[in-house]
Amino acid sequence: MKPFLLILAILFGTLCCFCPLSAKAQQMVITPDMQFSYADSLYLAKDHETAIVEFKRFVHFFPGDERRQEAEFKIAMCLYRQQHYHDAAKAFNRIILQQKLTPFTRESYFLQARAFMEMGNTGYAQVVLQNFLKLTEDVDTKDKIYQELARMHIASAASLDTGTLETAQSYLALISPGNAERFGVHRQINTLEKAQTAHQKNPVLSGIFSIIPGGGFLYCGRYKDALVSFFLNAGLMVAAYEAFDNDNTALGGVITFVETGFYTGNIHGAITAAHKYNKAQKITILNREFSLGPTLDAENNGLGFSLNHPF
Amino acid sequence: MLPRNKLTGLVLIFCLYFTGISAAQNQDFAGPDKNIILQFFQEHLSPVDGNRCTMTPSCSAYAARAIEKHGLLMGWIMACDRLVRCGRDETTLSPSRHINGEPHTLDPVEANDFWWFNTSEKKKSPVK
Repeated sequence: MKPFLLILAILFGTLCCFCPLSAKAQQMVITPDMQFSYADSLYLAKDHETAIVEFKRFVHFFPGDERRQEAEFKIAMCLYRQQHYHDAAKAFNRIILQQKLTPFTRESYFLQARAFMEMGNTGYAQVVLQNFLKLTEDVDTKDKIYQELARMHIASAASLDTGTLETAQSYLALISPGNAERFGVHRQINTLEKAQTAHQKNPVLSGIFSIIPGGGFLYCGRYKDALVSFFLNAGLMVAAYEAFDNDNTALGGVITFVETGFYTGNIHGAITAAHKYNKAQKITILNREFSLGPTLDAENNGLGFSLNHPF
Repeated sequence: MLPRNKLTGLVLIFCLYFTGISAAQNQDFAGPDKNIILQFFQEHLSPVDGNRCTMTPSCSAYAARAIEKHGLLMGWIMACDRLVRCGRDETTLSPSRHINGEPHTLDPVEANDFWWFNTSEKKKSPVK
């Protein structure tokens, strides 16, 4: 009986000793490296949605890790790539507010400005970079800011802000000689000069020509619009005259009202056509150096312009 | 003096002008139609008339947006301007966009009022 009890005791002891160990062995301990590399692999695989969750998990469980700022930066980058520009701008802002000037903070300034640009808020994008310009002493960073500010002004040239291209040119001129060649500054300045001296239509003249319906359209090279405008307005004028001539004042009034809309519309259209022509000329020249593509501003249901240039 | 029925016909033509003679479709105008005439046109006349407008937003949607944005007077002027330009030179000058596989010329209100109405001034800092 004794050996049986002894074996039982040994078995019990063994179970007591190994069971907790084996359970412990099955427990997964995630280290900061494992968490970060997993999140990073998702980031590299462009699985932005999951990468954000995993980077947030990293920040939550390992707040003291030296890669915390990198994780926060990559969260902001994921949001930016997902085109959640408002959230991305806020995420970049959190990094900027950390005061410590690291490579991630520097990039955050540029990317926050780009997020504002994407949202159509060019003014605030410029403010972000102007603030950064005051904070930094590094020449390379300053040159990059000048380049970025010039890029913004060129992009907003599409909205016909007067003096935009001149401002872009003045920013490019501020780039240090060391980086000027690397950025292709002279080539860009030449393109800007050509864009500024491009053939233009005078909107005022176009409006004056529209006194004869279709004249403004004709001046802007829109021959079909000119023809339709001329005959439509002439027809309505004759109809109104005939109606009044036949003592049909009610009908004459209605036709006159309609005609007034088409006549003033013809003037408005002609002036707009001249502005559109000038804008198109400018963009055609700028497209030779930069990549200005028309995009649709979904928020405002309007036209926007994106600018890409390999720096 | 014109007969009464002819006069009624001409008044109806005027109403059609007002709402936009070109065929319209609702697809590009997301907001609610506040103008009852335009709403009537888009809901009852346009489906019968068919989708013939080659521009996007359609002429009636453009008119609704212009009136909503600039008021009745400027909206009316811009709508008339659009009716003259619809499907002509604008198709070769403005970018196009495919809707239901059909090419449409992109010509929103913002592409025509940019030289006198600046929306960017109204934008505020969105981050805080």
